[in-house]
Amino acid sequence: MLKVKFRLTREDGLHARPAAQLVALALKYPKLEITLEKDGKEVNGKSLSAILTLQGEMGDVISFKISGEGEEEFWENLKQTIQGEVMEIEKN
Amino acid sequence: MRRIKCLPASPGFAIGKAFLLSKKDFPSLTERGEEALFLLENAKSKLREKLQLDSEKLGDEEGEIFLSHILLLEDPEIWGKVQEKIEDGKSLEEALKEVGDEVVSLFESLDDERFRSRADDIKDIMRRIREAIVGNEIVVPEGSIIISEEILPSHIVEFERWKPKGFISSGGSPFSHSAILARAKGIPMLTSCRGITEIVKDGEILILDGEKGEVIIGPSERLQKIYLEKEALRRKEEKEAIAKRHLPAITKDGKRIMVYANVGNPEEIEEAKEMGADGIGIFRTEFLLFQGEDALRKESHLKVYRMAGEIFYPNPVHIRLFDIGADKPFKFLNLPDEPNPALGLRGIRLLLKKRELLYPQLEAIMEAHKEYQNISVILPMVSFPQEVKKIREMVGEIPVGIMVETPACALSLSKMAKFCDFFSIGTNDLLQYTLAVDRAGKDVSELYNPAHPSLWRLIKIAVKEAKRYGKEIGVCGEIAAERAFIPRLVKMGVVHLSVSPRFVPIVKEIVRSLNRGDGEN
Repeated sequence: MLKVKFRLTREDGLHARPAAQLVALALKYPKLEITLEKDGKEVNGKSLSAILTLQGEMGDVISFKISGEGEEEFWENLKQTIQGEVMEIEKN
Repeated sequence: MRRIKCLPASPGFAIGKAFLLSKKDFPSLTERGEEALFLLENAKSKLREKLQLDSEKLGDEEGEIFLSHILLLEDPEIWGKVQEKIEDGKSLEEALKEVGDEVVSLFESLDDERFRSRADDIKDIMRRIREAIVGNEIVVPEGSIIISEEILPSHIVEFERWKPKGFISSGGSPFSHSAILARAKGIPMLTSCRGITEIVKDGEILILDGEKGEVIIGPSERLQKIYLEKEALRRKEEKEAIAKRHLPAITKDGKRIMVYANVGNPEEIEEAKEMGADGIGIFRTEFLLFQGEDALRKESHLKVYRMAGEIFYPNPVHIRLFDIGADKPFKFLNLPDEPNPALGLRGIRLLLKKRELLYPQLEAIMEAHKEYQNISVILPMVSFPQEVKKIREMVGEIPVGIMVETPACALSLSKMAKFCDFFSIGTNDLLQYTLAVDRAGKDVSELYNPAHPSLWRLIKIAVKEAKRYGKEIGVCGEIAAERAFIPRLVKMGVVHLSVSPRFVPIVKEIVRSLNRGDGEN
């Protein structure tokens, strides 16, 4: 399991385009479970509709929980797509 | 003849017969259980193929809209719930409707308009799934103006083959995906046209004015003719504007007006060049602050300033110092909370207090200027001559510009002039401070009126004073890109207009159609 606190630095935060990029990537990892949390609200990382309701803006901090086969690879790829700043990262 | 005000979502004029895309009556989907699940899966895979094709046919940006529909088609939350409801004994009809309504109302309760308008994408995918299950399609007479409670992204793409003249929705928003698509395809569109579906009858003749944001129902023949000419002229102008974007903007009576671009990151600098900008009027540098502490290092600045200087050499690049205040989310700066950030420690005031923020940026500008003399610095939110004097003393010979954004500044250019080299009137903030109206304020935004005489009186005074002291003055607010205001600014004698990169070609073309006169009006 990988836990990452991540600050969004893209101007369009987690708006339609970055959210779609995230989900498109997540769907390539069928065995991976991904959740996103912001301000106590937790959503499924493979659900575009749920992610959009987080209303992630530039500067917001999102906590990712990623577990399953390919978690590290997924995270490496994700970082490139939805740019941001890693604040805390925890592996176990 | 009747007029209805709406919001313009895609520019242009259209005349055509109304086609009321009333909610088409689909047969109710009464299937349950296994059969319902089978039909649903089958429809999903049919739709998946169709969406792939749609998204490949479109360009990158528009194609992405349908890419997001493909992702919604795989959305475990949505389809998981539909499946649950069917397994609980609901009909396909009930399951789709209940889940669709639930997700849509969740979106509609969001407080940010740009997220809220994504509800359309959910409605769209639900509509298309039903269509894929039933398998029938709508036929639209060619050249219609299509009207509905809402225009969905797939409507724009699917109806393209019927060559629609325009789209009007009684709800919707200019931020919606369908509005983006309409703009990309050059089809005029209006949204928030209250009651339109009740007032207009199928087949009635309409004029859609995508500039004013207005529908005219049952227009006279004379009016129709006027609009036909307007549209022909607009199209011609747009084409010419693009073709001539790299040529200078010279008025009919021979005066060159510089058309600069306002940019906010390195990508936009390249876009500005490609769109034919004569320079960078305002380079907003706040994007650097999102790197956190790195923004306090000269090196982070230097790279982008050099790049801008090189791309536009020898044309001017005005680098604006950080324009921030307590309302901005930069925790590493530890800005104190303020009850009224718009009137607090912001812009140049903040920079003079927080020198660790000011110095790296100024040093980078000075160093970049050694290589590229077209680089200069411009100061945000100036109200007092002292503020300019202090910066002048720090930078030496580098050209210094002032953003004229407060009434105090506009009224005291004569005191500022000896410390600076040029001025740029930031009309967005100037208007906000003049009228004491926050344009983003929900209940007051309609009072935010760029045609207000007080703003124009201030602009006039500022331009006159700048000229008296032999300093260049231009305008960089949104009014600099508006057809209605450009002639007035040019006749007053402003020498540059600075606008978003995409507006550069059309602003140049508008300038070319004007007579400046003596520049004293």
